[in-house]
Amino acid sequence: MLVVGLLFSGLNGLQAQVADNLNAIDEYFQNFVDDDRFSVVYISGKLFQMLGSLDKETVRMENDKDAEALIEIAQDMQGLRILSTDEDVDELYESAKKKINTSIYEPLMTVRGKDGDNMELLVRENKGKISELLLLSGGDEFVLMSFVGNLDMEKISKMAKEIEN
Amino acid sequence: MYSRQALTVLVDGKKNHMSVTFMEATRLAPEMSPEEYTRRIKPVQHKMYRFALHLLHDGATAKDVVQDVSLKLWQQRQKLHQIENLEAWCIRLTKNRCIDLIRAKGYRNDGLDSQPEHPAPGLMPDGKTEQRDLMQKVSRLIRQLPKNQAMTMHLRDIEGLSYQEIAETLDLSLSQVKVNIHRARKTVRRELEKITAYGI
Amino acid sequence: MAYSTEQLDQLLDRYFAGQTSLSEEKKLRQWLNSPELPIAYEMYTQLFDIWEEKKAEHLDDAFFQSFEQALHRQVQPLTPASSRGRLRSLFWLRTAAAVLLLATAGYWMWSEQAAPTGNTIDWAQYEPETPEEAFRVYRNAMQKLSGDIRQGSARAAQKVDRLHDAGAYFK
Repeated sequence: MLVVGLLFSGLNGLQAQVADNLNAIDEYFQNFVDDDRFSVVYISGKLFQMLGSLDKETVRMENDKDAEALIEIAQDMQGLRILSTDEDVDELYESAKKKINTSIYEPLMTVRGKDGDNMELLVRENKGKISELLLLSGGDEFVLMSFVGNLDMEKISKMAKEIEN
Repeated sequence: MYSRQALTVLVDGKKNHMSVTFMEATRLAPEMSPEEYTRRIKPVQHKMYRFALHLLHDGATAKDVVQDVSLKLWQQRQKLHQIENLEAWCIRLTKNRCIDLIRAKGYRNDGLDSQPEHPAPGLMPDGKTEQRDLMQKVSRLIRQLPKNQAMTMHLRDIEGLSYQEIAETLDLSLSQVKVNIHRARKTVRRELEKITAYGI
Repeated sequence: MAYSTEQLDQLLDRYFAGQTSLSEEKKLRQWLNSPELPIAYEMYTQLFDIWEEKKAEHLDDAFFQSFEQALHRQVQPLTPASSRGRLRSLFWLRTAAAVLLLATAGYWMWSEQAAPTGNTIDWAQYEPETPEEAFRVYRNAMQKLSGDIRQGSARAAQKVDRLHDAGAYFK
């Protein structure tokens, strides 16, 4: 019982940390926790599960198929974290880019523009499955978006191609 | 197709100017407190109640409907600042809920009245009893009107909405509203004349 | 009477035909309340009394009290949980997990992967209050993801085309 107790208290802390380690933003954001420049939004897996039960009117989109696709993808989402700001975009972009560990995150797409209109799309793989999708975006706004979950890249890329903006 | 090849491109494209920044689009709405919500919705709730009451003819159920709809709207409160006409919106939600109930339970039109239909025997007929009787007869008639006519008449004669507002609230065309009013009032007038002609 | 019976008849006819404006209906109400109204018209007065009676119906304090309670019951579940609150609710889940891990000796796997990062962020404070709002945010995020990907792909295509043209020139 004592052993269980010790392990339990150890696991308690670890479990939270392991979960948080599954996304790139935590480490980066710790530096900016009290920084007023940033808008921060988080959607937990629990909230994603609730999306499936919303009524049709609420999830109405221009195209019904888009709404269906989004709800379907949401079922596999465990977390969405968004950091954005329109201040010091270039500086933040470069520093974020440096902090991303490319041995863990594999770049899928990199766009560099002369005027700083940059974008990077990266994925993190876990035993043959994509566990995190990271979007780093510059230009007018700095955006760092992390999608964590059991991601089906075929579904997501299909959605990305078809969704009406 | 999702390709695992890293794609690096050097371009000198122009910046996209979006009317709303991503930051603004994803910013969380400032939280509305329950107190603030209650304050905003209270005047509308009275109207919702009257509307539900005259469709369902049951005070308790009407109150349930108002509570259900109000709670549901709280869940969607970030929509509130987008809704131009809150009253119309709320009454429409009330109407839908009432109609669902009517269909589900096979609600009877001639619901129970709290007052007796006929005066107790032994009471001397006087003006007041006659008036009461007429009111009951007309109320019963209104209850038996087709729902669209009843709702339209309610919004006009009791809530004092313009035909345009009624059309928006009930999602009808302006001409439909006019037709409903005309038919409903014609029926009522006929009944009034009948009652008066044959005595109360 | 400030009006004639002919005028009253006309107004009544228009009312029942649905042709009166709101102000005309107001006038009609006033006319029907006149003490000099001929008895034959009293039924119409009574009709308008019915409207008045129905208009007076309203919700009482008991309703508003009950509503406020119901509202507060709904408000609680989604407020960001303090870490202590979360701890309590997941207590048994974690205990079970601990036991399971012991049994499967998976604990060592955990200790390798879990490099403590120090302060972890309480993301709960950045959550939207309702699933409706969550959907809005999520939708916007997906649209941005899609837009950025398409833009990136389009630029790649452009670049390829440009090279193509340049190649044709310098052949």
